Amino acid sequence: MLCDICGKNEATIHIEEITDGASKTVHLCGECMAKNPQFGGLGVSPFNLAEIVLNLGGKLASKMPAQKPDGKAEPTMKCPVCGWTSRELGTTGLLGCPSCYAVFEPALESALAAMHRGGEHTGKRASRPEMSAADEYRLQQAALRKELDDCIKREDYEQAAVLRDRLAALVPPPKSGNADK
Amino acid sequence: MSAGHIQQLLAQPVGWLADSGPSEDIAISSRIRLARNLNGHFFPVHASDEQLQAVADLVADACAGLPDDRLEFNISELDENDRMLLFERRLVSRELFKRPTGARLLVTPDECSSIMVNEEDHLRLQWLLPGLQLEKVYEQVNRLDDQLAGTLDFAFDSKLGFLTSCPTNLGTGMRASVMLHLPGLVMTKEIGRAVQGIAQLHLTARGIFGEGSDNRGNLFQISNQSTLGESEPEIIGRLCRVIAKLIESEKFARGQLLSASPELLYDRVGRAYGTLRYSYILSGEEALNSLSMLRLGVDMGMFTAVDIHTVNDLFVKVNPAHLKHLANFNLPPDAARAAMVREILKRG
Repeated sequence: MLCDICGKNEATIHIEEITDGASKTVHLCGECMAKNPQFGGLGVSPFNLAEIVLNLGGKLASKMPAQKPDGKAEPTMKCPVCGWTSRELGTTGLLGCPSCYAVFEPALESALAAMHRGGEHTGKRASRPEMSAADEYRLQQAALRKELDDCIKREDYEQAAVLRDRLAALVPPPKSGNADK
Repeated sequence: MSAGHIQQLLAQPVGWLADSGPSEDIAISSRIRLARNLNGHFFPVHASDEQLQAVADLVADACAGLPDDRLEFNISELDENDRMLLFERRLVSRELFKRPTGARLLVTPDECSSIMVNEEDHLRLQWLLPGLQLEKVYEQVNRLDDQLAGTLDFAFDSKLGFLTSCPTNLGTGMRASVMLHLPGLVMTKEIGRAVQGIAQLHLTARGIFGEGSDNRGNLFQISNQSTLGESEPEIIGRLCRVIAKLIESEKFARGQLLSASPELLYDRVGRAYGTLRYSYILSGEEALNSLSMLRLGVDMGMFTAVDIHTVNDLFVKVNPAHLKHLANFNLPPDAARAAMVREILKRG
């Protein structure tokens, strides 16, 4: 879609204006938004986050070969947890789940550097400490045991058998002499 | 349930506009919002209806344990006008309206503290206070964050900080903003340079209602742009230093206008009052621009008949969704707006 103002550049910013209940969408390129105060650009826009994020598609593509040697198109990157793809990231500028960062972080690096004042978090830490594998195992075990006890109490033996099997299948983390090194 | 809560909100003035705060002649309000997400759940943009509902239920349970009572709005139960009414009161964003299910707003009756559920992120915690007091706002919203973290498992990475759906919010997940009334800088045409300076400091300036709106009423929202690489106090400190400079520049500009031509300034303020107090047709834009001039007159002591909080309250009430609730339905919108404003100013 071309920019509503210059009609030449690709529109990368879409602004929905609602005045007295009537809605109108304006499609702009970064350059025209910067020049036009009425679109919230206030006459200057030296650093447009929307553009950076929405252009991620290009950045991601440049990290991957366009074609495999056999001539077939390279599949997009995909988060193994939620299935979100680099294509979806490119079109929306958003990620699909917290685990996506592990997959897409390398490709996001330059965009993050342009958006932020540093690449590492220096602020508040989550009050709940990140769980070690041992903690996670313990929590899962405790949750399943509690559920199993509840099933036995209400004499739901079919579900109890399922839970017993899930408990047995839980894999304990490998023991290390130097815990949480 | 939600519709009844709307009536409850309308029956009282907006808390952060009705109370007094530091530097309130120029700084109207201070706001901080924190973006948080739950581990093990897809972000709202990717979540199914069931997953959105599961997040809404988890958050509702966690909020039931908070010390303060909150009004709960199920967005899908509200009609378009009531949704826009919450938007005009700065309690929700348009993004929240996109979710077919699981979109919630939990707000304290004074409207200072609100939680949006399933907006772009699972939770958006917001705190709003009158005047310039970002440190206090952070103290409050940080406490709310700690309280919720006691029961909710927030997605956090030791290098990237709080993980958010959009990478622009990564790290602290914090957007701090101050709404400033800058008619002096607009009239002296210094606003362009001021905004340019703000942008160079990785801060942004927008019109009153955030993205996609213009700067009607000479109201500007100044906020941080980057959220990663600095701590929350560092971001707030940087923002406050810039705000202090802007306030100083606005005061200087007002002084210049007054000394250059007091008659001109008094005339503009007087005409704005005349328009608001006596007109029978008043568009939204004319109302906001006249309110801006009236507020300037009240701030500078030119006008004592009108209270600053009445003017603040009108800034919200002249907007279309409020108008539909508050004004005379038998009149066209601009006539209804004029009638409502006349009536409120008559009371003083």
